[in-house]
Amino acid sequence: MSDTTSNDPLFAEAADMAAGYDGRPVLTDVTFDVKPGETIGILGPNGGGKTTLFRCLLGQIEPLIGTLVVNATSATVPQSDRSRLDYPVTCLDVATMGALARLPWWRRPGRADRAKAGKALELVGLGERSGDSFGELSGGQRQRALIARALTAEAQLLLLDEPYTGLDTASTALLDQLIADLAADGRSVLITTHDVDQARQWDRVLCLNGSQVIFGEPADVLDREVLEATYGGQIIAIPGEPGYGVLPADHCGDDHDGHVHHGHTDETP
Amino acid sequence: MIEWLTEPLGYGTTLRALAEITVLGIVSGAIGCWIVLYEISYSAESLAHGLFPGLVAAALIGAPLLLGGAVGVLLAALLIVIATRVAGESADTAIAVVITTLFGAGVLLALSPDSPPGIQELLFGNLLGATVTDILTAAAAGIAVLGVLWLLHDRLLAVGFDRDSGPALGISVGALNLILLALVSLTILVAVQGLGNLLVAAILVGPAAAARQVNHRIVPMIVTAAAIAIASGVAGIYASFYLKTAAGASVVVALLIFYLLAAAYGATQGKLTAARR
Repeated sequence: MSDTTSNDPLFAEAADMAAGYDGRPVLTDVTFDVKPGETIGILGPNGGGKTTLFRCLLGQIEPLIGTLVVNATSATVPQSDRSRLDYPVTCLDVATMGALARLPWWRRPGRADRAKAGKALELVGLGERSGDSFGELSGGQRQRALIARALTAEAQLLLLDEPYTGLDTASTALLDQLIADLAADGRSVLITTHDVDQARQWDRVLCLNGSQVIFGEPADVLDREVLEATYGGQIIAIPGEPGYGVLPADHCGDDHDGHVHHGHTDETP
Repeated sequence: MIEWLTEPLGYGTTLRALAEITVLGIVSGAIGCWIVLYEISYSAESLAHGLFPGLVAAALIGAPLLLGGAVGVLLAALLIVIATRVAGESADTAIAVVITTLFGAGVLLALSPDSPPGIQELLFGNLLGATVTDILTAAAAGIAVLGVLWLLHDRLLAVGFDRDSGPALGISVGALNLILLALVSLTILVAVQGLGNLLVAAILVGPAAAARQVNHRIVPMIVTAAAIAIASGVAGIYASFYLKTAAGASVVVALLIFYLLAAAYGATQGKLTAARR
C-alpha cells in the first residue's frame, strides 16, 4: 500500500475535532490525517462515531469544535446489503449515478459520463456485467458496483462502510485486491470494519468509541488495551492465533470463535 | 369489427374523452413510476383526498381549480403539522385523521343540495364531459410535469435507489421529494376532473405497478406504464360506450385487468423473484 512517510499534500487532516448533531457531540477528540494512496481501517462499535466521521469528511456536517480540512473529493460507498434489489437499474446505471456529484443540478449525465462509468466498472471487474440488473448481482459484485459509482464521481477519498459484510472468502479476496489497487493508483480508502485481523493489513487504523481511542500503524497500536477501550471490553483471545479477536455483542450472536463473521454468500448470483 | 371500432369515434364526446385519457395516460404513467418506486402510493391517494375540499370550494366560488387544490394541499399540510406538533399525534394517525376529515368536509360541500350541478363530477369524474379547454389544460400541465421529470430523471433514480447517498451525490433529498409531491399534486389536479377524486389514484398507481411487474429498467417501465394507462383508458371508454357503464369506473376496471395480466406474466417470467431473493 502506501509509503506513510510521503510528503505529498494530505487528503484530510483533523485536529481536536468534535462532531455531532443539534449541538450535541457524539464524537470527540479526533486528531488524524489521511495521506494520498493510504488505506485506513476505522474500528469501533456501532454508535461509536464512524458514520458521523464519514459525514464530516463528506462535508455534510461541520465540526462543532476543532478543525477538519479535506483537500480531496470524497465519496461514500454504503453497505451493499442495504441496497434495494428490486429497483429497476442496471450496473451501469448505478455507476453513472456517481457523475451527479460532479454536475450542476440542471445537467444530466451524458455519453462521456456513461463512458467513464463503464471504465469504472471495468476497473472493478464488472465490465462484462454493466447491462445486468443490479439486483441480480452477488453481494461482492454489488459492493464493487457501488465502488465504481464512487470512481465515476472522481473521488480521491473513498469511504467504505463495512464493505466486507456478507462477503464470502473469494469476494473478500477480490475486494482486498481492489482496495490495494485503488491505493496504488493514489486514492485513499477509509474502511470501517469490526474485524481486527482485517484492519491489521491496512496502513493505519483509527479506533473510535465516542471519542478517538488511538490512531496509528496497526502493528504499533492494536493491542488488547486499545481494543478493550474501543469495544468496551468485549475482547477474547483466539486459541492458536496471534493477536485478539473482537466480538461486539450486537454483531455476532452466539458464535464465539473470536472473529466477526462475514456471514453467508454468494459470488454466484 | 371495423365498424365496431369506428362507431364511437363518430361522437365528439368520445373523441374528446379519448384525447383526454391519452394525455392523462402519458403523464400518469410517467409520474406513476416514481410514485411506485418512491413507495408513496398511499401519500398520493391521501393527497388527492386532502385537496378535495379546496377543489370544491374553488368550484363553488368560481375560482381556478388549480388555486383551490393548492390551498387544499397547504391546509392539509398545516393541519397535519398541528396534529403532530401540537396535539402530539403520530404522523400516521395525524394523516389519517386530517385527510379523512378534509375529504368528509369536501363531500359534504359537494353533495349539498345547494351545490350547483357539476360539482359532484369532482368526486366521481366525468371523462365524457371533457372539453377542448380541459384537454389543452391537461396537455400544458402534462408537458410541464414531463419536462421536470426529464430534467430530474437521473437524480430521482439515484435517490430512489439509495436515499442516504443523495447528499454525497450533491442532491438535496428534501427538495427533490417536495418537487415530486408538487408534480403529483399537479397531475392529480388535471386528472381529477376526468376520473374523479375517488378514482384518480388508480391511474397514478395502477399502470406503474403493472409496468414494474414486466420491466427491470426504468425507461421501458415508464413507456410500458404510459402504454397501459392509454390502453386502459381506451378500453374503458369503449366499454362505457357499448355497455353504458360509467367511463371513469370502466377505465379503472380495465386498469385492474391489465395489472392482473402483468402480475401473472411477471410471476411466470420470474422477473422480480430473482431480484427479491
